[in-house]
Amino acid sequence: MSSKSKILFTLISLLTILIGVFVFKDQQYYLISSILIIYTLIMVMSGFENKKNTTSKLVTISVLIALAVAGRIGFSFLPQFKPAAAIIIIIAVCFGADIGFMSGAMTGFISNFFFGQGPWTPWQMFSLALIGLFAGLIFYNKDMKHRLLWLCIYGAISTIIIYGGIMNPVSVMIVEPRLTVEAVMASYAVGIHFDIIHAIATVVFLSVLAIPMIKLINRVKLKYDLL
Amino acid sequence: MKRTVSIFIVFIMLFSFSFATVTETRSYILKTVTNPKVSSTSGEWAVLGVTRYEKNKDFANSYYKNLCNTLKDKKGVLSDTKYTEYARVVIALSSIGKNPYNVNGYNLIAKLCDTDKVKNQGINGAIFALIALDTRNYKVNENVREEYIKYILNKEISGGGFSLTGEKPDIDVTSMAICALYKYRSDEKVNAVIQRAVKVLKLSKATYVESIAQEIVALCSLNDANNKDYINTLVTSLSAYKLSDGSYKHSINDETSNLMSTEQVLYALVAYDRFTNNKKFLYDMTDVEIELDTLRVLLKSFLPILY
Repeated sequence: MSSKSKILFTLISLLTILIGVFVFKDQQYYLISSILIIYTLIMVMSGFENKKNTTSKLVTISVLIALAVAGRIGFSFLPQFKPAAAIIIIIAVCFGADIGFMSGAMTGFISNFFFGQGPWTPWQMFSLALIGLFAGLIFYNKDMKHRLLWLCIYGAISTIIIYGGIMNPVSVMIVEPRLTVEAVMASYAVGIHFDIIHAIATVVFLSVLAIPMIKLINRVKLKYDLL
Repeated sequence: MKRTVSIFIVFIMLFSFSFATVTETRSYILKTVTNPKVSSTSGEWAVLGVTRYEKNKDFANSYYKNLCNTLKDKKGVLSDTKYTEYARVVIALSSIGKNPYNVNGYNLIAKLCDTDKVKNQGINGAIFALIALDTRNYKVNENVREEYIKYILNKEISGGGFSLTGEKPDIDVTSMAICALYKYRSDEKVNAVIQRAVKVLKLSKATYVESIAQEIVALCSLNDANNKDYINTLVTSLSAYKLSDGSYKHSINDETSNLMSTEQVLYALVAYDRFTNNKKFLYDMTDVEIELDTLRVLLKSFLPILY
């Protein structure tokens, strides 16, 4: 899939979420979340056309998404210290931007069955999806052994700028109806502590997990011819 | 054709009726209650009714100033035994978007977390504490809300409904209990209690205008289209108590109007207006703009679930 259509899908997703917020007044978050998942499926499946071994590829990716979900739930005892973003980045590095986008969206949706679904779900899906998308665009199929530092830097920046950057103003919108500059600035001032912990967690998990996991996944890719 | 026209006319009449009485009664209250203070009449309930219909900065500010002075005079203690005082104040503060965690240095939410003191007052205390805490998602210890819910559920009398004392369901208390529990009706156990309470309400006959008002508020909280006809009947029955200046009598045989009755009818009409216009419920004040320091407190409790 060309990067142009990836951007197109990203914009359509954003538009869908905004329609959910302004037309459906944030009440139809299940519907919007499901539509987002359909987008990512179209995005990923269209890349599967005329390719072999798609089933094994899907199974591998599903297991990895399950790992990201389990990681977020498993670490629920440590506030904000979650491995989900790190695992999504690793998936994107190994399988590309479109799969990274899908894993992010799926992880946000599925793990929220544990943490609670709400008007924040589509936004969380979107933020995590963007983290995966850019990770794929920057690092896909590159030799990660010499780029681990860059990957960690990306992990820190993406969790603070993308995830925090989107989720803090969104939480203002959910807590109260008014979205003013002061309110958004206040939300960043409150949220930056959480975002920094989130970023530290992502860097820690990337530095520990990235190299062995990427090696493992590349081995699986080679063995089952998933390229 | 005739039928559609007549339905249309009835619809217009019903709509204009409710609209006219809200604004009429609201301006009556604004005219009568010139200086809203901490009090069960010409106080918080007037603020609630007035501001939940439309913002009124002067009214809100003069109430807030009086509240600050009262808290200063009484050193933060509005009452030693009646914790509904704090609940009433928090409800008013939510409706004007002020921060209940810090009013002139006093934390009113902390008072509502004193579950022993609140429950000492009986079912009323728990009901209003829960309503006040849920006007916004005010952060409290997890078990505080649960404790109140459990306490209220346990007080259900056999056959459904609630009362202050005794085994006969009371319309006012039953209605208020519904308002406290409506947010938790996705829980089957709570929903069963609510449905039994609604049944009790529909079978009972209100003798005072306040009971009708509370019933309207309670049924609007459930936002259920099935109750619409019944709510319409209740709203129509209010007109028997109404005087020409927009005020309301306490009982049908009274000669003069009563301020407490009028205040309760006002916020009931506002609840009805919100119900018919698909706005958030009277006590769900998440649609009120808040100050930045309140926002910060709320965000601190909300943000962690997003990671």
